Amino acid sequence: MSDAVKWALLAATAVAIIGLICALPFVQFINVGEFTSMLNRLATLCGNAFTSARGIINNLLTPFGRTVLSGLLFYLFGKWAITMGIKVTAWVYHFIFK
Amino acid sequence: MFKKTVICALVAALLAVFAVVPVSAASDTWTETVFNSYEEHLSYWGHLYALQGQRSPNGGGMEWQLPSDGKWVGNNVEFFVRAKMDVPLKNGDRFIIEDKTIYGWFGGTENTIISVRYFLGYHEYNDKGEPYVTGAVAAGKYTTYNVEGGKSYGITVKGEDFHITANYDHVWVGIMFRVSRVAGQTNTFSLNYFNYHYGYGNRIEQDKADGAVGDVLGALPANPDGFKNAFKSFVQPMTYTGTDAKWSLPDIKLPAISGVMEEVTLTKNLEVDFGGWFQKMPPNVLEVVQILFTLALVVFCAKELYGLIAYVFTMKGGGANE
Repeated sequence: MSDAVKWALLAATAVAIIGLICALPFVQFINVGEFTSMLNRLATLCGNAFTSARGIINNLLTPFGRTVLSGLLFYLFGKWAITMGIKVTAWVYHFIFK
Repeated sequence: MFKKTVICALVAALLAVFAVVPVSAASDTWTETVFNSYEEHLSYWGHLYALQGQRSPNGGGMEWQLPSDGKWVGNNVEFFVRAKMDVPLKNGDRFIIEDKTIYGWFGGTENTIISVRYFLGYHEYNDKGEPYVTGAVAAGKYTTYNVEGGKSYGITVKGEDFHITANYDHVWVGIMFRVSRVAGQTNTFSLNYFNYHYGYGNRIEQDKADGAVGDVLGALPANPDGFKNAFKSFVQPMTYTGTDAKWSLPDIKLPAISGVMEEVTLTKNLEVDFGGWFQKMPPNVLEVVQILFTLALVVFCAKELYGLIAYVFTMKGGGANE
């Protein structure tokens, strides 16, 4: 079985598992609306905290430095995301396919 | 010669085909003698639930009356009608009939013109529970073929989509053909097959899709905006270049216990302005600090960039830590 087929099967399995979880009758046991609202509030709270933290840092930088920092944050975040993607891919390849 | 899996797959495919394409057959034979040339409309229909080809009852537009003076000769006539069934039709449903093929053997020496059309109708039931035809839902156009007597033909009528515009629970489908009859001969007409190929209508697939989507939505309502908003909350601070650094701390409360105590507020909503700290610093000192931190940031960026370039040229190391 080629690696491409294995990846396809793995992706299909992941989608099927997510689908099975989503198909569970959550609504009978939890209030999904309240749960979603709680997550929204949490995300908003964290976002405000991040903004405040960035405001503190911005006080220590010149306007030019603030712009540079924005670009740097996107670069670092992108690098982290790509690195994590490679690591996850390598992990799956090593422990499942090998 | 063949692998076992290939043979199993072929058997499974054949079984699947027969499982989803049930075929029913009906047979009728009659003899007719033509005294005068004329055109006759013949129809053959089957209830979508009954799976049986049946000659339409006398009376009404779908009547098939054996003519005492008919002449048209047919033999081994086979109809294929692909239609959907087993689902109550609703207003706006699309009903597809396709791949209608008539295989016929036509006797005699005269050329025979056959015009074929197909149609949909619906039943209503009388007080005795007996169905009777109340009208046609839709019908295709006549397609005319010129066939020579004594030869076998397969005639395929291209499908059309019928759009149901009313609620009909009992729908039947049939084929109507118009034949030219020629006086002076007595012949036998044999209708051997009237096959329905069904189950391919849009409605069944649509029902399955609707059911699956309904199950998922009923289990866990989708809220894609939530993820988008959360991601936006994370990304927006990255582009924030202002100096406001207020943080609102929410109330801390002890919840009320019924019959024991009321709700107790330990601390009220507290708003902290971290930016105020920097406003209290001497401006020149703050400016020096800003320049130093900006320089440090630029140096870090330059080092990171240098690491990337070094990695590209040497394929070794890379990153700010190298």
